[in-house]
Amino acid sequence: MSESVVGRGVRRWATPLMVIGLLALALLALAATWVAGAFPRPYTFHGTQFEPVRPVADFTLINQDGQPVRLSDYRGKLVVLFFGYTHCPDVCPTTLARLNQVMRALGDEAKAVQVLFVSVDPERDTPAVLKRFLSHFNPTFVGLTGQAEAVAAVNTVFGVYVNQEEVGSAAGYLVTHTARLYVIDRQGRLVLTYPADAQVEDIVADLKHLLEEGK
Amino acid sequence: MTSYIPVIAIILAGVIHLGVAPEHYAHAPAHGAFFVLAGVAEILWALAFWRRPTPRRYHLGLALAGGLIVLWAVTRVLPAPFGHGPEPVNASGLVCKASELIGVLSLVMLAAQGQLIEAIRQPPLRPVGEALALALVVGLVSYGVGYAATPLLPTLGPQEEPVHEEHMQGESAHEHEAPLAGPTVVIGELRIEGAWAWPATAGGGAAVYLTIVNSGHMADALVSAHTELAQTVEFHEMHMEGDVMHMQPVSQFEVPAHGQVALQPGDGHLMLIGLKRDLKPGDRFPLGLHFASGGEVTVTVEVRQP
Repeated sequence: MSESVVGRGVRRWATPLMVIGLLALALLALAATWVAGAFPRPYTFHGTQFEPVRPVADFTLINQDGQPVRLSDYRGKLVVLFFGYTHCPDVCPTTLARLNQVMRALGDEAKAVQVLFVSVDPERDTPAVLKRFLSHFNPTFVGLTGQAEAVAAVNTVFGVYVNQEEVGSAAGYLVTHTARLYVIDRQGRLVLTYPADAQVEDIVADLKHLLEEGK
Repeated sequence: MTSYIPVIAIILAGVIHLGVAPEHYAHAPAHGAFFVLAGVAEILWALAFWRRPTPRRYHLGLALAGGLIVLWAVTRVLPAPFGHGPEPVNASGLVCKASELIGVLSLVMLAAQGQLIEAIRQPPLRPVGEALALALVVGLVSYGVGYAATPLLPTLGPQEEPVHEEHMQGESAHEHEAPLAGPTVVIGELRIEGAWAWPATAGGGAAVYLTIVNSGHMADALVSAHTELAQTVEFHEMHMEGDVMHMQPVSQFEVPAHGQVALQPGDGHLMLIGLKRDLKPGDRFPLGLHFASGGEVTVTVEVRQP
């Protein structure tokens, strides 16, 4: 092999190669755009998804204004549902504060989201108590209580464990309960659940995606 | 001067691989290692081919650059080995693949003309087929090997998000900006920092959170607390059992020598029982603390805006 042969070959092919290279670059860019568009990266929820997604049985409870409220009243909004009670000193206020941060982070989109705080202690949580309690956190949150049987039925719907426990506290009984958040989509289907200590950013991202999806 | 186009193109691709290796390493160690390997291999190949373009080096170049293009294309659609899902299409990736493509094409053109190396003077279409076959085989096989190796080497996989740590640091940094907790109080060797509570309603209870730091040689313990706002104050410890939070009264909070006890949501708190009035955001109230060593101190608790 001689240098001159190679050199001539390169000279002869330099221009066509450049053209082909540029064409190839353009084609590759086109193909990549097409691939990226044809296969949008699937969104991965931070919360645990329910499979299959199932509609939630409707229920009626009393809100903090003493008015009967049905879950289906919030059809068209994303519902974030949380079980707790006003005498709960630690998890419940911390979770409500976290949900407050979620609503703030959602900005305008918060209008399409409704937080429901379902009492697991209807005995002590009258509508008036709920109203005072929630007014310190976020007055747009809806607190729900009602007859013990009605509340128990809702707990069963979500598989929430509730147990009145005497631990020898002057506070009277404690209500140990499943501290999870539940997200119901705008069609009234249970779609996501989070542990009570889920990150605000994660919840916000998921809710934004659900709102985007429904558009 | 020999075949400078493939050499320059592949060196460029190699440099890009090395350049993006750190960010990929941050994703998953395996990705970082792969990018370094690919970059070094490409640069070494280009130098070797520059010195002496033998048939073996010619085929090696086709396999390397072509294989990397196929691997790139596959991992844009299918989940990348040691990754979470398909990788994004970005500018550095496109430029890198374009230069590899230019490299492969120029190699094939030269070979098809029999100009590159006399030894592989052959029918024009054969180098094209060869290049395609080499690229597909190398690309798909390496994808398969990577995919199979993923579960075997979990330590090389995606780093469990340090993101959450950052969030938490961010939050606490934010808390320092806006004083949401009461001022620090010092008693002897003990320092009591940042007492705060969530809002609560009269008749109910409220948890007070604070941190006690002991810089002394002797362990101490918080044995009781009192405030005019509540009938009584208890100490509670929390623990999670699955999704259920359990709370247990304790008689005292021990503060080890040269240690601290940090009462935070989910860990433990001082529970005010039988509140005589609502605790509203922004309220401040005094809370008396009594220690086993005999020390007594009053701290100011700030009710935090949730």
